[in-house]
Amino acid sequence: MILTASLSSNKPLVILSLILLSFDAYTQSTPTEFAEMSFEDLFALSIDDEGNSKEKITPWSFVYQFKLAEFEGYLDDDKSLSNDYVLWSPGDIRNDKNFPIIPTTITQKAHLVTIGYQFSLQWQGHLTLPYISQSTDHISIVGNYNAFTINSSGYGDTVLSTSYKLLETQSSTSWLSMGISLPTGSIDEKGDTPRAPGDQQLPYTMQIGSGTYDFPFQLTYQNIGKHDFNVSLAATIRTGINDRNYRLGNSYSLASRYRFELSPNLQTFIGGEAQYTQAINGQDNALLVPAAFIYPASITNPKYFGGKKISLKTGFNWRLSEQYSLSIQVSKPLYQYLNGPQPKEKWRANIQFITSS
Amino acid sequence: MKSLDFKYKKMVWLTGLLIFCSHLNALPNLSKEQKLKSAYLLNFTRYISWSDIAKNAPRPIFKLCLQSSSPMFSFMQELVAVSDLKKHHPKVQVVAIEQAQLCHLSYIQSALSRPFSVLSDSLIVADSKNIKQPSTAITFFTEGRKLRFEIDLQVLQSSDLIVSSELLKLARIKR
Repeated sequence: MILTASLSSNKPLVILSLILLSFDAYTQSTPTEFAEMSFEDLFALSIDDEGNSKEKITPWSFVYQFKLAEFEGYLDDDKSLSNDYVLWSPGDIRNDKNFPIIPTTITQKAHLVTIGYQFSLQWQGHLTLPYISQSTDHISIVGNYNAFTINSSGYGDTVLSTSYKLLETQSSTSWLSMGISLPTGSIDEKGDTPRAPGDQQLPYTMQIGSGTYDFPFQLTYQNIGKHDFNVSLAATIRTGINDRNYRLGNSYSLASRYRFELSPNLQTFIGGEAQYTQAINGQDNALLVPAAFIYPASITNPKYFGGKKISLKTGFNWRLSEQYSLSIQVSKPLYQYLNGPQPKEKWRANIQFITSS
Repeated sequence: MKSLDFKYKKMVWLTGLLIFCSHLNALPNLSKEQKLKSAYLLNFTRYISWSDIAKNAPRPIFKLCLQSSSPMFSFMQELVAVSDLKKHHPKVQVVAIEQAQLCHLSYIQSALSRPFSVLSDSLIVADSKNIKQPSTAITFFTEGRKLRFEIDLQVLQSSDLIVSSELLKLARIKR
């Protein structure tokens, strides 16, 4: 009776006791947990001592990425074009390869936060929220707009994805990831362009989202051991037509990376990526001008998007602690064959901070 | 005053309960690597067939001998107790090598101070490559912060054990 009375009058303390009990059971890696493990399960676990890394048992993970890319100069297929060639000036013959307005430098920045949850040893789920900011420098023949910059920023398309571990052996792992990209990013970004007084609809490159439901897929093979490398095949398949009457092109890529261990906590890597992106399907009519040549700039013509790229990338992974790691990567295209004239990629960088199990 | 005394006693009692609960499930101070090795040992018993065990009926008894630290011995006992609930596996008995009269599988964590005759008919698993024990069939090692094991095929072939091909696929083979 006394026990019952004590328990009922101190309910919060009792609940706290039970929480502590269950938390302890969860983080201690009990015999029950180990008894149920198969060889495959055991192979997947690291030997890191749980006493040093209680968080390692948590199914949650967090990744922050900062991506930066710069585009400058023009390519038509693989032929380099000068800004003077692409900029149409009065007296020049106007054709569909020159324009009265041209972007000179495009800078894209993205902050991506990914929250992951490990449902089981095979299944993981991820939610990625991007914040994108873009800046484009232009030159034009339009008075008061000889040189101007347009900025846009906002939350991009939210991606929900899941990964399934297809195979895990002593020397390799392979994953299949698939997801859905929800059209949460704006496709109605406006700014002051020479097209007309005031703010107008901005070109495709300055929009934050795709406006369509897209489906990213990725198949990754990771070799572990003496030769640490991975190969991944990825695709983003876009569906439907957005509210502005267009759909961005599908993209496909094949990437590989070879890792060298400099020390137990520091690795460097070198790799390559081949990428193919389709042109835009459809057209945003708000970007057109009522003239013989309807596209005032190359980035308003949906045909001048997409192409093929082969890039070289390098960087390092630094394991800061059992739970935290930092990765820095830079890449530069070695070869580009673009539907153009189109601004070419100069370089891109990616800084990634990971907390995980 | 009486009421205050009762409240004080109740608080002490509940604090005790709190501390007890938070430590109730605490395990001996054992590294995760040793826990993983224990789980591997248990799995080995399921992927290797001992001819004398197969003849036992209705539920064979498997003798797992350990030359290990006390926490690992306790953990292994708990692991076996949980696993024993699944009756389709052989019944495993965990025994200290020093006290064993029969060992089907022997795990050696550190160099033995003297030879043990029970090891002669036993499958020997060494904690690491630092253990120099003759006739060791399986040796644990780490690779990329993960626990792996190496199987000495010559030692296995000289015994009358039947090793599952699944186990061989997962092992690094020493020829």
